[in-house]
Amino acid sequence: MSLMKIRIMLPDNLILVRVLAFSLLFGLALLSLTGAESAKAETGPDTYQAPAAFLKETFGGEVPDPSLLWLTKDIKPDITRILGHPLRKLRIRYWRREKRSVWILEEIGKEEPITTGIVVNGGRIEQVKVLVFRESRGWEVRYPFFTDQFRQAALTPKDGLDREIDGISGATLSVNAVTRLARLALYFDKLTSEENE
Amino acid sequence: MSRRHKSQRKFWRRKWRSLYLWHRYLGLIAGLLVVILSVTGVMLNHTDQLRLSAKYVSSPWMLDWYGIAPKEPPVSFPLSPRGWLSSVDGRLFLNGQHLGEVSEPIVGAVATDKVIAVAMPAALFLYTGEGELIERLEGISLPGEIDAIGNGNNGAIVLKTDKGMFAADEFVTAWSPAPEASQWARQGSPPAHINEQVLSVYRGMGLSWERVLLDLHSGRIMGDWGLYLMDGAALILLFLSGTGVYIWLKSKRRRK
Repeated sequence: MSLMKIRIMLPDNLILVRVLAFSLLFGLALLSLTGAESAKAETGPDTYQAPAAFLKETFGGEVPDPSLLWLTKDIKPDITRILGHPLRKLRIRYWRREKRSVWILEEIGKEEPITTGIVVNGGRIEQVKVLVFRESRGWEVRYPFFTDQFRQAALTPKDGLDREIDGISGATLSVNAVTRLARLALYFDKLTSEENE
Repeated sequence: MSRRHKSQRKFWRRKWRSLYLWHRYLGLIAGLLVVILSVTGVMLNHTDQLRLSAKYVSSPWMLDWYGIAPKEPPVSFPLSPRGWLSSVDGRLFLNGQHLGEVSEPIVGAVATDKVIAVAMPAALFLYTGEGELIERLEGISLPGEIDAIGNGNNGAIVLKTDKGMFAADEFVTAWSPAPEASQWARQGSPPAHINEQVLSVYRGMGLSWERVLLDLHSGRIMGDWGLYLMDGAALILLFLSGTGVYIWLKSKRRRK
């Protein structure tokens, strides 16, 4: 006699007990999973490197004086197009030595800003580094396997990146945020390089 | 025991053991909760498209239900002649208009001809007279950790920091060592209508629709009991899926 036949022949109340027990166990397993997730969400911001330390490291200890880029009405539409939303501030501070510029920018992944340091050299990205991460998920964007994809990336005529950036499953919003910041840093570098020339 | 009593007991025992009846009545009980779970679940899946985190509840009774009220009364600084800068639970207001959020308690706020400066120990926010954010200065852009903010004799912004006293240039782009400020920022009492507006805007931005839907979905909107109610609904759904499969298998066997 097959197992299925045995089960069907069991009295109703026994089946009932089994179904309830299974439901209870399954429910408890789900509760423990969601508990672990919420515990993770309660952790505070993760500072992987202070922006000041990033600047010192990039410029070999001697950080140049900061310069200011005023976000005028002429360039605001481009910024909105790159970010997908307006950038609600009037100026950006950056650091430049010859063809190398450093941008410390913030963009929200889902709810909290991700602080990212971006080094641009001669119109191409030299380094992308996530400095402070405040979101509850998507922190994988800090790892070099993701950020190294931006090395030597340049801006296309339509202010996109000249290469595809592979996503990370479960971190799509953070990936998109860092990618937007990389485009913005290249765009700002283009503007300030033109000013310097 | 009479025959009638016996047959009644038999009838109820059979009913009690009937999986069909359990399935039917528990299904009816779970029905309402399933509707709430489904509707809120679908809406939460599209939080970004529906912009639920940026939409706020204005209903006074719901704000009262959630106890949306500031933990501390507003702290205000006079910005002569630009009005009042207030801070409540990490939110900044200029004359009752919401400026943004800050993560630290404010040390003080001053105004110059060009900017309004709001100081926190590790950050300095600069706004235009209309309340538009110019820039947020922190870390390497500040001369040190801020203890106090004030105006110098020439009206320039002066910071008292752990590394000494520093004055900013006209547009607050650089810092230079400075003597004592002529006037340090001090808390004051704004007119009642400004305080009322601050509290009204604060409450209006205190509860997003995303929060309400999340709480409806989890049952937290009714406190701990709501949570257990939704847990119960989830367990009933699991039970229904089990009994549903079992009943289907049984009826299939009968048809054979």
